[in-house]
Amino acid sequence: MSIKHFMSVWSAGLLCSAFVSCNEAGCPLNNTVVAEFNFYQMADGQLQKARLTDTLTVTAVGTDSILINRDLGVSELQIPLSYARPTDTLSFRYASNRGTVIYDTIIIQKESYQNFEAPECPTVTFHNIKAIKSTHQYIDTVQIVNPNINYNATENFKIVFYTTE
Amino acid sequence: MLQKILRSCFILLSSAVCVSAAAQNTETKTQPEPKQKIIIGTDKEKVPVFCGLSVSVDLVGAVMKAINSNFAQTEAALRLNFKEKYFPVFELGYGFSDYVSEETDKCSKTNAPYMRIGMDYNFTKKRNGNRLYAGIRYGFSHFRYDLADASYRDPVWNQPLPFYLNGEAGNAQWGEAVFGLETRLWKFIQLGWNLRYKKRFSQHVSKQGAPWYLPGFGKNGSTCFGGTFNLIFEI
Repeated sequence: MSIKHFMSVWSAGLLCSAFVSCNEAGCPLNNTVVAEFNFYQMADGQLQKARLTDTLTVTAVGTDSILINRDLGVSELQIPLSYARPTDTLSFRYASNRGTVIYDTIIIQKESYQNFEAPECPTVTFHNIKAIKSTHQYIDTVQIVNPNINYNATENFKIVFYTTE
Repeated sequence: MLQKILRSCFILLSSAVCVSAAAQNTETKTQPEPKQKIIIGTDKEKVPVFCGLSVSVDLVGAVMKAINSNFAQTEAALRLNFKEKYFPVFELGYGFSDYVSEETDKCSKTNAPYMRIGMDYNFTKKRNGNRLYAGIRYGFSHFRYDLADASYRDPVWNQPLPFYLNGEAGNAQWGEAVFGLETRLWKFIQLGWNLRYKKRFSQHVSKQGAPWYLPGFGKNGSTCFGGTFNLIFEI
């Protein structure tokens, strides 16, 4: 084999080895994991979407974190759950423009697990909801719609408020 | 004149076998056309069913290991030769990876053996040790892997949650389409390279995360390109 041929094979081989590559493991574009709550009220015997007229503040009990701060005209909420606690307690504070303040508390029982994703992507935590209960100042009932909380932003909880005049 | 035309046609056809033409002998210039045809014809008649076997080692993996690449794999292959056309092949290797992302400091570690079986088909007509081939492979690896994200924390509930997954078992299966060539270097020693398009069929890993590297496949994904550069010993 001549030098020319030898060089041809070697250069092709080096090109080949440089070609060792793979498709990129792209991180998910929607990489936030939040629980979605939608608000409802009974009207004419049917469940209908509701919009709060009071100012709503949501805090995580046991921390100094304010998850929703004085939001007005709210009809749905997206709230992050804790990554490791088996139970999260959320405090709902309704403040009317007349100065009255009412509190409700929602307790969520869940199982959480971490998802590593690719090394280039942030680790995320997914949740599986086991149970939910609440106090009943403004809230009539709370229901689990979808117990799996992950990348798919779908309705997880239905909060039905008492009907007011 | 007719001889010249025939000779030109033969050279063109030989070149059309693309890259392998570089590895072909060029003795046709000095040999008369009829004699060459007789040689080819005789070769075809004399090809036995079993023409021998060869063992090879991949040099790319050794280089990748030496330069501390994110992953490397050392590999050897045993190949049978039937009629200089069909080459059943068995490849056995060991893959190494200890990858740390610069952006996130997250780690993925996999060290495990893998195997592939398959078949190559040689397109060249001559029996001179130069081959242009295409083939397919089925690959399998059973492995254990580690994942780590030591700095993971819950920002809202303000809680550090270092994530470790150690010694998790998994396995993967994939297929490969291979295209390559090889040429005789000296007597029974040959040199060759091939390109591989890989398609992952399945992987069974923890729901908490998959390894960054699959031994024998490469960087984990649905598809992957790879290649080997082989030193081959024909027996």
